[in-house]
Amino acid sequence: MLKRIIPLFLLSGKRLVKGTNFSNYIDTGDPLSQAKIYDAQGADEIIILDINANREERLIDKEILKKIASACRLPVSAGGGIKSVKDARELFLSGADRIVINTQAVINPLLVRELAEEFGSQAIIISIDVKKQKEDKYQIYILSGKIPSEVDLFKHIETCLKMGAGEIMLTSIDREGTLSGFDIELYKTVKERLDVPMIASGGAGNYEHIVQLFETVNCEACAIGKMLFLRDYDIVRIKSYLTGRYIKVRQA
Amino acid sequence: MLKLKISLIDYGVGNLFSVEEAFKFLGCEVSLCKNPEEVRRSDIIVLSGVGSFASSIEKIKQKQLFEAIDEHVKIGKPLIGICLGMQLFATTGYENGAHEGFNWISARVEKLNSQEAKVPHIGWSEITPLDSQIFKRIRDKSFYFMHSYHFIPEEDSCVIARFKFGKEEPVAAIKKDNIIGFQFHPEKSQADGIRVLFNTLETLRC
Repeated sequence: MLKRIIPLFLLSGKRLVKGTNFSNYIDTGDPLSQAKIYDAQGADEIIILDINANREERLIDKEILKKIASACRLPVSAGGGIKSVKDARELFLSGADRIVINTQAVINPLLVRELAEEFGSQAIIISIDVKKQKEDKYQIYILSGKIPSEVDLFKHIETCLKMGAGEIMLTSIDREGTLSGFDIELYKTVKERLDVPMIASGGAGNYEHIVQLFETVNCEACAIGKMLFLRDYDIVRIKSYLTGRYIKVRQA
Repeated sequence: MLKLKISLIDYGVGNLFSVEEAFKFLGCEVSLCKNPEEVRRSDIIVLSGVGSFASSIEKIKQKQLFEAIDEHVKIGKPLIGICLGMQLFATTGYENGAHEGFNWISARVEKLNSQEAKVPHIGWSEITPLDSQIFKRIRDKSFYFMHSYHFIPEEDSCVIARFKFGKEEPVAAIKKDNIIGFQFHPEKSQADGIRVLFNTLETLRC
């Protein structure tokens, strides 16, 4: 299985944004033109999340999804504000291949089961945002990192998998947007206790960070944000670097 | 460019959008088929879909599309199956019990099982092409997969590609007479995916 390199698109309404530790967001461009760029560079997938949808009680913009799905030939996963099977279906019909559930999976884990039964496990990604408390202890935050949850991380992952989640995207709020490297300990700890298909997210800042992640943690994919949007890197060069370090990726 | 008429079966599940756009990109005229009359007027049918084997067959039957699609294939008209659409070619699907498929190819559909690899199988995997026509002129051999079940034919003669999954080598694509099926998503596999769809249409057209 080839490791996947996934540009992570954070959407606020109709524009892309990028912040540091889930705050201080700045505009990073138009989602469609950015999607076309990463499609051309050979990204393995795009994950697009509307960070305000849940709080604003709306769904991620379907028109943007449709435009991306018509212009690009790569898998698109979408999330933001999905509260029901009906919401999810609307996103699939707008061109999403997979959907991402975060807050609702914590509040209402049964929704995960409903979605998995309707669309299949392969179509359901559970996104979890965590902050480090102390050694080996992580706290889940919901609503784009705004509200702490008392649900235990390992229990939550276990529940979601039991309900039929196909993949877990685990984001370190402490590392997100800092360009300081992945929280390797977090992914190691999770992988040791539960063998889940996982997308690591938060902290990618240079080639070595990605190499280190794949060399030490056997995860399936990594999500990259700021490093691509606001620094001088691209998918072609990242993949060529990883290949040079014997990490198997699809050639861009 | 291929000016062909494609009928995409719309039975109410899944992302038809990307499939539609991929064929339009190749110059085809794509229409959505929702009833048996539209199916009977079709030249080339594309059967796509996500979800479970049982619920898809049930939905196809509910919309009275089953007989029309079956007839289309039996009189020798071309059909392309993608992902679950390909799995429906089989005799029986074993997902929450046994369910009958179209039975165009004697085969079973069962859950992927491997000690070394994770289910669902999501992401890009390299395939081993066994057919020179469908996979000609591709640049790389990686395609995008997204599934938990796989197609097990009684005879290997219909298999035109396999992929590595742990120690197993499940079916990645099949071809029998006028029907071609892909376990992966050509419409999501960038330039090589489009190339495979192009080759497929060229093959089916002859």
